[in-house]
Amino acid sequence: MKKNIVKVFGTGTTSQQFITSTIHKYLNNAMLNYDIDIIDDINTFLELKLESIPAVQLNNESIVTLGKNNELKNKLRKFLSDILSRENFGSLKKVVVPVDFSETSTNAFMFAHRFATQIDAVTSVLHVHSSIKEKVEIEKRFDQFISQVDFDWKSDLLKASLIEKNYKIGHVNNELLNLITTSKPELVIMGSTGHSIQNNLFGSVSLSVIKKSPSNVLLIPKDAKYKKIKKIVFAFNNPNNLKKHLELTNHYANLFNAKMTYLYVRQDDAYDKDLIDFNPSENTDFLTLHNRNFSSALETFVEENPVEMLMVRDKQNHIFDSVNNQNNIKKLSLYTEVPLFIIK
Amino acid sequence: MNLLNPISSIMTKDVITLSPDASISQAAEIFNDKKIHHIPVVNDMKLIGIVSKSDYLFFRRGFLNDNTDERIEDIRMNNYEVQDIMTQGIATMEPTDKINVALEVFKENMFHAIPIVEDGNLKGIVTTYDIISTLAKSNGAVAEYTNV
Repeated sequence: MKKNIVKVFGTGTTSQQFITSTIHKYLNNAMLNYDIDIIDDINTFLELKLESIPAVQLNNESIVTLGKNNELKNKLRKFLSDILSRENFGSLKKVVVPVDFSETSTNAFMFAHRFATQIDAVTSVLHVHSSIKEKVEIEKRFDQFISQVDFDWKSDLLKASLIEKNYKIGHVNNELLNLITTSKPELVIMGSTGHSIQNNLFGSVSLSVIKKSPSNVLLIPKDAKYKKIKKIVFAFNNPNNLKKHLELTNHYANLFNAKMTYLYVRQDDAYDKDLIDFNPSENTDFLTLHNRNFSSALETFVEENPVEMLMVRDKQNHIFDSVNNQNNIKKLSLYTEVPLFIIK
Repeated sequence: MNLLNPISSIMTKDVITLSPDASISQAAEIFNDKKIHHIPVVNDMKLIGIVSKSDYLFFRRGFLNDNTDERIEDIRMNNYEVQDIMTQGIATMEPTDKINVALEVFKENMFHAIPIVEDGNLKGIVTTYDIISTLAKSNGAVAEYTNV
């Protein structure tokens, strides 16, 4: 099989070295096997009639001159995105976010892009249009929508998460689940319209995806804005099989350097033998609440104790618990005012 | 203006500040309404950074074209906090420091505002505009500076 080659043209300046190391870092992280050729021979530049350096080229495709400063950053970002998108972004982590251009989904997209940046993931954006009519216009609108975010505004090159565009014709629910199944994202981030959710197509999609998605889901209420995540609460009403989720909750607490609170909402005073082994690490709190209503207990708790993210489990052990839990998840997704992370 | 006077004599005392978790939209509103160029960022009165109009415009630069969708821009600005764009590790002075020290700092550096702090607490701010404005009001300013 022919090996892909990325050529980096320049005269050994710091920016050429930086371009080379950035390309290497991304392709390496994506576990894509590319050769990188550094070309610093002026005669070659003349022979190829290069307009300016630094420049880059994939195999024998057109040479892309990168310019300077912001132009360089944006062009290199586009060059890398083009290469990676052909390879489905390799093994880079992904955060999938569906958008329908509504305020709620646009807000979820902004949140997702910031969240993905924080966890070094690619933001995979999906827009689904129901008919082939107006395909060109909608696709153009989608491109414009993405381009307002897909750049680096900080001095650090490629600091902001790269964006993958997915434009599909079909049914949003099916296409979203297809994308989740094929790309196996770290997380699916969706906007939630709150109380009006049942009258809203996108809202019903959220509930359906929560139920069927094999990946974890983060619901963003329409008025929730991205905030530095300093405090995470993981709430549960059944301590069974808790240990297997602690790794995930700790993973996110570490990623954000956040304080973790484990909140056990118990229905009665019964002794829970499973909690004997529950030994959360340092920088964590362990609290218990007595309340038979899990969702309303959490609503009250987060009202009184501001948190940036609330984590709950989707599945319980027993069928009865599972049905109860689905109702809890549904209620929480309708009424939560903080981002709700649903562990699958 | 006597350049050996304390900086507290010319600093702005009623400073508009923001908390680090304020949104960029809140900063934008202040820049637009109050016609100021620097907003100190404080946490429990302690100065932790400063956000300048240049920082804000740099953040917005991707939107300054004809294709900008203001609605998307507003949502984006609400999803970033002041602490994402503020400058940290800034030069500060104490209220008792002399005005001529501020002049030297402005002369040697590219920035135009110095927060005035006492025990880490923000007490005021002095900008190049404050200096020029005080100089303009003071008839013998140039002569006094020559004599220092």
